[in-house]
Amino acid sequence: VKKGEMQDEGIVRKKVLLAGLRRSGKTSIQRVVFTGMPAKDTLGLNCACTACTISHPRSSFVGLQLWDIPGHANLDLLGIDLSQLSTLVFVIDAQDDYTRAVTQLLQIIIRAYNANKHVNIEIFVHKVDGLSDEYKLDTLRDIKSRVLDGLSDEEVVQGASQGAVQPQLSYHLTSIYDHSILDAFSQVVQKLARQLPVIQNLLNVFCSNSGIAKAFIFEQNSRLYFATDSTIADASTFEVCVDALDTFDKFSRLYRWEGDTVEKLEGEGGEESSPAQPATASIRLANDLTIAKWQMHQNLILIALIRSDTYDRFKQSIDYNVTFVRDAIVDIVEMERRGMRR
Amino acid sequence: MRSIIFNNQSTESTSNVQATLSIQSQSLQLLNSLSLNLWDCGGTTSFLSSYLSHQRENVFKGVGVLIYVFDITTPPNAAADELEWFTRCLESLKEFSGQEESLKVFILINKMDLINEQDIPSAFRKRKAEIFQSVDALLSDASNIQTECYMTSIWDQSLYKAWSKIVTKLLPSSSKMSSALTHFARTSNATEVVLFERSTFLVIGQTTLNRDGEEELHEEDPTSEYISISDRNLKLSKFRFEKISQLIKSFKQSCTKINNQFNSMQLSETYYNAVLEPLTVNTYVLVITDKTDIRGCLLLHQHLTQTPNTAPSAIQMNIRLAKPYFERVEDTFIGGDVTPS
Ligand SMILES: Nc1nc2c(ncn2[C@@H]2O[C@H](COP(=O)(O)OP(=O)(O)OP(=O)(O)O)[C@@H](O)[C@H]2O)c(=O)[nH]1
Ligand SMILES: Nc1nc2c(ncn2[C@@H]2O[C@H](COP(=O)(O)OP(=O)(O)O)[C@@H](O)[C@H]2O)c(=O)[nH]1
Ligand SMILES: [Mg+2]
Repeated sequence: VKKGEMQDEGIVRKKVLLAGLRRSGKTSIQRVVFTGMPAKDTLGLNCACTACTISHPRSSFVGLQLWDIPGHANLDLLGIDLSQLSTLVFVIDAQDDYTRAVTQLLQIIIRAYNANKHVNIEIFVHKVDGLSDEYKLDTLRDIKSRVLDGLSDEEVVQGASQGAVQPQLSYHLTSIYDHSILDAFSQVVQKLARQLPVIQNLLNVFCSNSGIAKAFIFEQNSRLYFATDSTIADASTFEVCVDALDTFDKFSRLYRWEGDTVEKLEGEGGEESSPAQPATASIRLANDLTIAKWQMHQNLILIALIRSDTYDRFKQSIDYNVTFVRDAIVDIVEMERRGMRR
Repeated sequence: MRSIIFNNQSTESTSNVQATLSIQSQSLQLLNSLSLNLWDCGGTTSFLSSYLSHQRENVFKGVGVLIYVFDITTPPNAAADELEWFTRCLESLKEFSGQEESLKVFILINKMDLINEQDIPSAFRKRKAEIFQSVDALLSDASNIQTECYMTSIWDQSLYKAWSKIVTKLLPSSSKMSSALTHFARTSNATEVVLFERSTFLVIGQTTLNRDGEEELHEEDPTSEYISISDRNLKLSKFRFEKISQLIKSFKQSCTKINNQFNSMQLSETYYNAVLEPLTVNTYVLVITDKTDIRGCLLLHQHLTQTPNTAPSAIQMNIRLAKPYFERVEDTFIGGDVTPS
């Protein structure tokens, strides 16, 4: 009984605020990423007229509290304490004229930065579906330069530039119609995970020892990735990995054990031990590439891209190396979970 | 609709599909034995009237199968017109095809996703009755015409189910392939074996075995999405075949993003293994094995000596061994000169 209580109430959560003008896509992002809503269903979302909605997305590696506020809201009236904020995500509709959005962004950056010098500021240049690659990059460049110009005019920040700290700004091109939103949100969440460098190192070692081209550790529920090795991969590689993750997941639901209940499969699982034989799967592509999956923890999945002939020749030793990654991940997750509770 | 099943397009992308102008024909080779000449006739009224008048003979001669798509959302005032067109198509079909030839007419009632869930059965029944009533007279003296009616929506698995039925009905070898599947399933100790047509990924054969190797499924429980097999602890989703078609087709689409193609898949879940592999040039096969079979066999002493290996690598081996056999079965039926248009 005590454990359940702690899980619900005692978890320390990092606060993430979604801000942006009306209809910029905040609620859509939150629904698509955390509730799995199909992108086309967001067309019916009403503009949020009520006060801020707070959701508690389940995540096994970072406790998150997401605040989605209506675009026209006044922060003071909502009683949001910016000093508690870990991350500010500001959504700009790139298909629209963004002059007003940039003005509002500048104001909120200054307020958030003055309240907490270590706040992460993430700027989503959003709805870039339907824009050409060139136009996307031009828009990004233009927004960046307007923000920098705006900030350099501000005294608050000028004062700070003589000292050490500057607002930490990161930019992402996003759309809910492809997986770019998952990629961006994953990076946002990773900055809040204390154990990230350890896991990244672990994956680097794993990849070079096992002949793996690219590896991700995904969270099944949200499809966000917890960590990846440090090789650079293009967006389409990420898209295919997410699609493979989905394919494996959906397939595995078609055949089930009598004893499995939906709650048991989808629940957080608490301290429950993982099954004796963690699930594995693979998809082989015609052109010498295999996408392999190993279950790490109830909700964490390792996806790796390997050349098919490497996979065939060294399958046994790769599987063996995976057990070390799994043990380390389980340790870290359990440790994080204990740390999240007070 | 044709774009989804035969051109591997995703459902989302169909809103950009342009109205079909005139007639687009597409030749397909399904399972060697069936070369399908698919004619997608534009539904715009002017085209309809043209191929029901001066193009009539050209279009309807030699047709073996007519697939007619109704839209459930057609408003009542236009529904009479829709029925009228259908009747005229059937008339032409009767006129230009031989009496002795057997004809199949598949009626698909599409866009069912736009109907409220509780109204679906009644709306379907009503429309179906209207359609059959309007062509009753035409069909009563045409014993060579068989009709089937299915409801579909491009947004769920019903489309795959209907097309699977169409393709299976059209394939002369499908019953033979099915018995070959059952034999294969028994010898390789599988729980379920499913055969897919390679280009469309439609299901064309399937067999499910209980622990004694008998083909048998428990009664469907209308309240649950799953069905059970006697003596087995595995539950199967009722919609698994259509969903697999859908899943693999969408993953195939995804592979094009990295200039690659789907080849095969395997899963090892806690209680079962699944292997999906190319079988013959025209088919894919999916084999599901129950991991707990080993335990089951240990209880039966007579089976102890031949404890089946249900691991994915063993399944792959079995599939490789069975390949020549399935190729022969398939080849036997190339002779059958079935060429529906
Ligand atoms: N094309 C495109 N449209 C999007 C995208 N994300 C959101 N939208 C659309 O933008 C509209 C507004 O989205 P919401 O999520 O309601 O916007 P919001 O920021 O929460 O708006 P307020 O609550 O009024 O502040 C919806 O019709 C979405 O479908 C995207 O990536 N691409
Ligand atoms: N909601 C819904 N829309 C559909 C369905 N089937 C087709 N559509 C839409 O109807 C439009 C016309 O489809 P199309 O296949 O081009 O029709 P055709 O003229 O008969 O070839 C497209 O925008 C499709 O997205 C369905 O089952 N449900
Ligand atoms: Mg909103």
